[in-house]
Amino acid sequence: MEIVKLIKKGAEAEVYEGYFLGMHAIFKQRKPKAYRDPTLDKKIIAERTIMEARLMYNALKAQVNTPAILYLDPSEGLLVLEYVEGKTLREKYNNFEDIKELSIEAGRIAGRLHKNGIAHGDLNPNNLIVNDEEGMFIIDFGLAKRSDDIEDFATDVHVFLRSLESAHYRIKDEAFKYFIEGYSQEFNKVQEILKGVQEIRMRGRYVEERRKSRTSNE
Amino acid sequence: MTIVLGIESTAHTFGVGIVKDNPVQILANVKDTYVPKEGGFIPGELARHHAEVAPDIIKKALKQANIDFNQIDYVAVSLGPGMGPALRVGASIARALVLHTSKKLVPVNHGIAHIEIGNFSTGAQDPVILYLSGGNTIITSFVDGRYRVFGETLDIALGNLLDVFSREAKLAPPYVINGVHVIDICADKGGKLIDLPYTVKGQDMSFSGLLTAAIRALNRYRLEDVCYSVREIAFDMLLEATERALALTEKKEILVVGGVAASVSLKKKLEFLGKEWNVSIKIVPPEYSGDNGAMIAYTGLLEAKAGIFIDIEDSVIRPRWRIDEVDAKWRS
Repeated sequence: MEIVKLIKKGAEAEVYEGYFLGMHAIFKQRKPKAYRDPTLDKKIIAERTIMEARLMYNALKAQVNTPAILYLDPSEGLLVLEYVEGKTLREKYNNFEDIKELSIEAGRIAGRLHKNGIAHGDLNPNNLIVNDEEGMFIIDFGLAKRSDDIEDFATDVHVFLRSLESAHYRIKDEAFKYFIEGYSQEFNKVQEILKGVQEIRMRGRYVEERRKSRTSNE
Repeated sequence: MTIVLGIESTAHTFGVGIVKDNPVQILANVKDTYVPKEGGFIPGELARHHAEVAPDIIKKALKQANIDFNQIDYVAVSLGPGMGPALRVGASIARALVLHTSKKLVPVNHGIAHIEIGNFSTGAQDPVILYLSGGNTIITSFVDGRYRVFGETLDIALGNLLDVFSREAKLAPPYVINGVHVIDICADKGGKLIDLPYTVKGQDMSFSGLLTAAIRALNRYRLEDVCYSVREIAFDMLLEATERALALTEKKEILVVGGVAASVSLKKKLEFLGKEWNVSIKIVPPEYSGDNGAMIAYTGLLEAKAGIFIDIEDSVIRPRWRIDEVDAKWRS
């Protein structure tokens, strides 16, 4: 086991690049949070590490590209994964590269996960990696869960849309249109999901659409 | 020299502030906050309170600033977001003040005003902002012309959670004793974590399930432990969502504004976060954390200099005016 460098200090974990039994690998190390109550901290770390590995394996079985799991230690919050080469979808979007094709592919991945009862929990363009040979990979199942609930799927789509609006607002309409196109190729509940997304947005504070819809009901 | 008078009346506070430029200085900040004897606010009662105190507050502000009303160049007013009946009082008074004079009216978004007074009073340059109050829980940052929302509550606000829980647990009113929220006083005597819902969805948070579960837990657990658990879980959710915004924006400052900014326990947690991420933590000082008129006057000054005004005919209140609908021309 050899750590080469820190590649990302995420919100939850530190991600290192290195070698595991000679394989090019990613080490995802969940860190205790100094601000968090220790009991809550231990519980969240162990639960999320196990859940993440389990759901990645389930996604892989459902023909979704995810990195292979090489090693797991829940009490230490350690997950060792196959290293996937490529740029993130965020970087691709920032360079305005292949917006149509990549958005369709991102939508397909989301649709396939949902069709197989997996909600990702943090579906943003930072968590999609474009590999030149094998296509798009989805990473970071840290907030993922098993679900058949439209609300959870709609939350994924909402989070993706929210990321477009905040970080990629220039291309958000185009990217979202193609995302939905790809999504509906895989999952036939797209209308219900979009209705759910609308509901989630309306629940937000001071939403203009909510006032409009109320007025139109009167 | 430009002098702006600002009027705040979006929720429980009626406030008037006066600000001048060259150099920018806050000349007056006077307010009166309506506190119900029991329960929450009834919008009609808020409006009556504001209308009653308004003339006196305006006079006191002018006296504090030691100026005459004729010296005021612009009148700024918070047109939203907030409660309709309360907003209408401030808007009507602002319109009346500029009518038949050459003074112009400046429309101010209440949330933007909290942020700008935070920037001004702490010297923050380009922070990730936590706007936390009884009505709002928003993680935002200035990107390309607007304050964009990176995360927010999907239902009730963090301040609302703390207040309603305290009320249901018979700890409040009053909600704040000597500058400390009653839930903090109670929580500091607890320490055992109870299993309550922790709900972070991507960058957004949901507090309503936590509130319901916490009220139910009051029958089965020690009050102090419930207080502790609600506070820890709510703030930990907020901090996790904040970390996501830091990871996404790579900004190096956190600015906390709004009524919940005064929380000592939140400050402690944020300092841990600041160390981990090597970001500086800036917290709006108490005189500008709760709703106040100075923040409206100050933001009105920034807007007036950028040429943002509104005609009386167009100055309708906007109860659902989101911060990300405002073009922050003065920052571009």
